Amino acid sequence: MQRYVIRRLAQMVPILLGISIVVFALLAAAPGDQVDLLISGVPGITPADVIRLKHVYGLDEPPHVRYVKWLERAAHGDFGWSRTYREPVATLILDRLGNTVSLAGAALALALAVAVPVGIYSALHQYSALDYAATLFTFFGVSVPVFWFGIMLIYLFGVNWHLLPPGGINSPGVAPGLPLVVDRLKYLPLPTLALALVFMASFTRYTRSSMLEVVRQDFVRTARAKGLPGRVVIRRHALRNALIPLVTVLGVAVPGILAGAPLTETVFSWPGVGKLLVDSTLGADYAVAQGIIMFIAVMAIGANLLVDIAYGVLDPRIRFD
Amino acid sequence: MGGWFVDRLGRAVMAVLAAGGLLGIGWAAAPGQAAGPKDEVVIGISQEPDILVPGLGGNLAVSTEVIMALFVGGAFWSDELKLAPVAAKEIPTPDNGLWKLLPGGKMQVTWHLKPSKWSDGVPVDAEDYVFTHRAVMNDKVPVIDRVHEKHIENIYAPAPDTIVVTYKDHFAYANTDVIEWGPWPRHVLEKAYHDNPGGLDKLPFGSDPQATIGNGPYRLVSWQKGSSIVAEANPNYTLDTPRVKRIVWRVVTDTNTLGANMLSSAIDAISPIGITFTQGVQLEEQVAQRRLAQKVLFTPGMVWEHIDLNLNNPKFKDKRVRQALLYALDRQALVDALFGGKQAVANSYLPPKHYAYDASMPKYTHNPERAKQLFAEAGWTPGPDGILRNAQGERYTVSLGTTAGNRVREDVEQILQNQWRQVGVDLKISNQPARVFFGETTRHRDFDMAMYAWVQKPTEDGETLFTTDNIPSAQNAYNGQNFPGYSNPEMDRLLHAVPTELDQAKRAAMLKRTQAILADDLPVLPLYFRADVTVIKNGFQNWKPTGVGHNGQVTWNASRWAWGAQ
Repeated sequence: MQRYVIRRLAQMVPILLGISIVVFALLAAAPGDQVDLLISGVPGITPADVIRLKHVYGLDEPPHVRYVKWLERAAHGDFGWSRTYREPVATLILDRLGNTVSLAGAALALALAVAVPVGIYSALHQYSALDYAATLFTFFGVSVPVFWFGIMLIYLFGVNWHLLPPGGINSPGVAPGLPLVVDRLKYLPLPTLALALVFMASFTRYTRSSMLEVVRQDFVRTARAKGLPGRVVIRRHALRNALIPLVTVLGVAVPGILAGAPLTETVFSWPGVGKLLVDSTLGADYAVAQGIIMFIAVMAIGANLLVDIAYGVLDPRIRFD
Repeated sequence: MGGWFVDRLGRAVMAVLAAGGLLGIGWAAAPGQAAGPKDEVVIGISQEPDILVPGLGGNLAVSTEVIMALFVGGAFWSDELKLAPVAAKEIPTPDNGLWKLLPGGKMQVTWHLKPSKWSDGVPVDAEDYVFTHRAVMNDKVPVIDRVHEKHIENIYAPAPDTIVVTYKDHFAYANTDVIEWGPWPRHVLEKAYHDNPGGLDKLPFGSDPQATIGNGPYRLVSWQKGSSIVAEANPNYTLDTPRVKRIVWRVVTDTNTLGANMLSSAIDAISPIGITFTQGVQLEEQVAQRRLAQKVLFTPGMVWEHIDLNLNNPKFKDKRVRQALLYALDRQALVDALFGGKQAVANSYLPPKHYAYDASMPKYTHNPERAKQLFAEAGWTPGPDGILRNAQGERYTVSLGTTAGNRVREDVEQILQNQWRQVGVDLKISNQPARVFFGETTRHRDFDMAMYAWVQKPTEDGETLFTTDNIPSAQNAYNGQNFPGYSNPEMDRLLHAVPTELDQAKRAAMLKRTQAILADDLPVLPLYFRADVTVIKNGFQNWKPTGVGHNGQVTWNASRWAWGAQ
């Protein structure tokens, strides 16, 4: 197990290096840089100004030179400086990560809290009215575009009923500490609901289908036959096996959700990592975009490793060597 | 039996959801409205400033909006494009003796400052201006626009309240401000500047409220990145007494959400850097429907939407063809249909607010017959499918590009395509993301027609837009701004002369001539002038968007803002 984890961690290095080269090449190949964007539409800029600015912004060197410089600094934990946000990229991402984690955590918790029981109920009462209702809901959940759903939530709860603030992360000028936490609780429900919807729907489907499969297995029938109470059969024998596919799905979903949900964060003006990625790419702030993509890559590889380890915990038949 | 467990769980979930619902209702009292006595104004913006130091960084309009509340210069442009002194006692003119011509084509402008203080209580000194100019002209300091500064030969401060600026040449706009940017507080920045001039934009100054010392009516008290900026009346400001105690900018990047914030009264105003024109029109309807005490304002501006014709393309070489293209357009119908007439048709590159605007320019009112006639004279006649063809049988097919994703421009393209079709022009639309469009396409003149806007200053004269030496080419590393490739010796002469002519009347006369030449030559098809769209709650007074962009954001008179009777 230990050797397995070490081997997997060592494999991460070449993978990340490869990703960084590809991402850097793609961003360098993207037409136009930050200086081109900043001067577009402003009359009076002379060719000499442009040359001066490209030098000031460090954009006058060939991409491979810039990559090597970036890699050297990144190896020392310096992922560059954001010209747009006036902060080191690492600080910027870590700042935003807190916001994303609170939103993503709330959304995942809500999604799981609803999806697992509803999925189990649906599976155990297949073709019941509630099962049909749950199926209908999951179709709604996966088909509704999140930006539309988000705007509808804002429109109903924010504009029409004045129940919750229409976007934002907290009220300006709230004292830090407990008042800020309480204040943020007002801002959390709408984006959480919007973000949770699609996960809720897909988790429900996964739970239902894998539960359906498991309850028909021989070992469940055996458990019932030896006279175990129903809830023990479900909890100890069926549920544990049914959860393995859900863990896989969760493992794939977590890096995505930690990278932020760009659409949800944008609609609700939630200053998280996803919104940062969108804004920095559009603003040609490539140091930030590069940093976030590398961060997502680490998350994705890390989450996959965790999923593989979790298999072993959930299913004793799986062994690592 | 298994049902029991699930029922329990199900019930628990229901209970949790119900509790959440109840809590939701419990929050009903606090939907973020700033009710009660008004000593603050909450302004919604759809972008976030990069740095709050005049001139440094990206020079974004949204940064300037906040900066103009935190810093004041010698003079500023009012919403009526009148130059007014702020920190200066008066505007130098040749008549009051403060603007003198020197031998050798140079000149000298003298400014006298009113006594004022930085927000940390230190008096503002003429040396602050001298320091700022030196820093701005240092190539290592990231300042984008040094158009004004480059004309300055020397600047010195003979007394703490006097600045003498010597110009290398006759520069017509020398009295628009002491220097273009600033002042910056020398006592705060000088050491850091000498240690590392290239790092001036990486200091806490301009981003950390504690370190950001300004001389404007407001001082920065908090900046929560990605969320909000708060500025409070600066107790050390002596040039005026701000009426509103606190200005809060809320960053809401999704413009639909920004509109919803206004409708729900969570904010008091939407800045010119907020919603799109179309959203402004929709919001106006919503405001009326809901009988909200708000109004949507459309302020005519200086942002000029136009179409560049690539004059290297044989299909645009003939002047008659370019005129025909404009005659074929019903631009009035276009602005009526899309903007309810709230954005005016442009007949010149200078907007009506500009001192040299000539209302007598040829209007090219919609005249499809004249268009067809001009096309025929140039050798283009309709083929069997109604599309124009020349003697070689080549179809008149041209492509038009603009920034993809800009809804208004895409709507304009639809109308243009349809109108040109009526006279036999086959228009292909090929849009690109702004980055590609400005970064590659226009720079390398790799287009037939390009539709975009220039954000013009009140001192705009078009020198960089229509002179031969500004045609992008390998020689200037493709960095010129004359994208159509227009070259006309008379225009070169006039436009290079305008910025050196000190007499405004003579300048206006020369610019009228340039407008007449352009109206005849039409290397560029003028479309319309964009308006600033803002929303405010009734009772908020002296909110005066300028439409100027760049040097004149809505905050130009922030110290005069006030809440009055609804």
